[in-house]
Amino acid sequence: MQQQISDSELELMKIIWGNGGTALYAFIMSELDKSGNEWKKNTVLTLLSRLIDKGFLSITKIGRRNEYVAMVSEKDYLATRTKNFLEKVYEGDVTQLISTLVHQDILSADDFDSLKKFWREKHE
Amino acid sequence: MNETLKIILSLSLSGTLLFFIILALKPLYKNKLSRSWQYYVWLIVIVRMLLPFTPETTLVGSTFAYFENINVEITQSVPPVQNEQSDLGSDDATSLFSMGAVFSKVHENLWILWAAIAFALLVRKITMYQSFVRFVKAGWSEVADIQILNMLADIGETVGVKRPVELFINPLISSPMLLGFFRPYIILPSIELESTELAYIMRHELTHYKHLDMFYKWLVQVNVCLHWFNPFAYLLAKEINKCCELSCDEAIIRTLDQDEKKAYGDTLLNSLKAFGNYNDKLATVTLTESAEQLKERLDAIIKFQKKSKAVIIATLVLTTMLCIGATAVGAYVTSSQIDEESKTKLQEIDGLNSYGYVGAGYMNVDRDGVEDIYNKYKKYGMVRSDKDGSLSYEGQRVREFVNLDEGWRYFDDIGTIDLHFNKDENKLEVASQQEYDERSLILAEYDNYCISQDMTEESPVEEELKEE
Repeated sequence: MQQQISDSELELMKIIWGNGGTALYAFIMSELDKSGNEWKKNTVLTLLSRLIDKGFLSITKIGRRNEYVAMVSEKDYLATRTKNFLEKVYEGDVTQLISTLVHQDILSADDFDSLKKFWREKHE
Repeated sequence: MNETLKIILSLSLSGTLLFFIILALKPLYKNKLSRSWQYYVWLIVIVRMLLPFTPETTLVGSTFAYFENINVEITQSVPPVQNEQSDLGSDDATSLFSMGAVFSKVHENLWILWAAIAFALLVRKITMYQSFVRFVKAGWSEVADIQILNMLADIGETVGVKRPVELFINPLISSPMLLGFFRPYIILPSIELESTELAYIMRHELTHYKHLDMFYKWLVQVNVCLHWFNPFAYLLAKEINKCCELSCDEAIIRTLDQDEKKAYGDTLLNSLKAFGNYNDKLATVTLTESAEQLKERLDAIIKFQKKSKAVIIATLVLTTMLCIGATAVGAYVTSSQIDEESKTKLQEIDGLNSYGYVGAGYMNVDRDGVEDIYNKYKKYGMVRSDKDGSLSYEGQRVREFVNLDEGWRYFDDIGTIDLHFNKDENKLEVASQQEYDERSLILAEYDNYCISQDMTEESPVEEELKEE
């Protein structure tokens, strides 16, 4: 069962996913820097080791440096998290979810069109 | 009494003496010397109680030697009867001797009881600690707040802890604590606190980690297990725990200004609010051990003063004196170790009986005896001088040649080599000076025993001298 990860942990995963699923520690730190996060070295190390414990990452050594490898793909993560959200918040009622999206104008007309197209393609 | 038991009792005694000495000095140094010193000085006592090392003559060693002589007489009065395999209960005298035999047997094996209890206590402590850790882990959740994690990382840097330290919350614990020896975790009852308070708490726990207090505390617990029979071992543990907190506070206080000191004291007070009741004193280092101790700690915070150079020098002098004192107080180990080794050697060489003392009655040989020895050993290379009848071997005059099986001793004080007969290889051998020394010790002891038992027969040579 996929474990829950915190927002900060998700950010780290996104950096790694964005780099093709693997990243060196140094890369992660520089990306964080770019996005304006002032996370201390030990904080990042703590979060990374939590991700390893939860099975999201594995660690290998390249020479003297540590490389972090994503063990869960972004797709899988989104799928699981969405299902959990749907269960918890909408009790599995997808129509309710869509209805909220429509009511709140989160789902625009254009979105709906591309959605119809995507649906037809998927079910051919 | 078994050697192991002797060692442990003497270590306990030495440790207790040292404990009293340092405790007695406390009123003198309590407010003058640093709390850290007051905390680490007890290491001298712990080491004294755990390591059996000692120089030749020591206070405790002499005490034990005195008691052992009496002991030797008691235990040695028993074996001769056991040799005869007397019926139990058939005779008053023999049943008394048998009781003595039982007493002696129990006496010999008492150390097993000590070891079993010590081991059981240690195992119990370890399992209790493990189940406590499991309990804490079961109910904890990670702290995901980046700001707090960053604060922890910062404080880690200030205190000098390089490793990343994990941070968890568990509402059931009664006070913030540090777990783990090599991968440290800090667990808080809650993070709903002012950031300054949170900072002091983290600082306190990280300081404990930096000072390796978890290891010191476990060492103290091991000591309590080994010296389970000694009530002062428990008092020592209690005292060290108190000093641990004070020392930790001191390390932090010294960097704070007046306002900050007050804030730190407030943090200690607030942490006493009961969050939960599960606590374990074994190896967790917590923020506050008890409410009573809190007063002492708050006092110390207010009274803190940086120590002058003179005080630092006085501290060094006192520490050195205590270390010397620790070795001088000593433990009964060295001479008894020699006893054991040489007894075994003698057993190998001369076939002592299993009770480890010389078979009944040995004598210095007279002239006829020397003749007998020569006749018996000439085929092994023994030579007898025509001039004065003295024995030589390989061109050297023999000084001492003992056969404890047969119960005789040849001694020529102007001799230069000592001999013994090696039964396994069936030949005469030159004995080392060490063997001679050790044997002399044993024989001297046996002499005393014989005299006390009125067992000596003066050798004909001595009788002759007396008559002159």
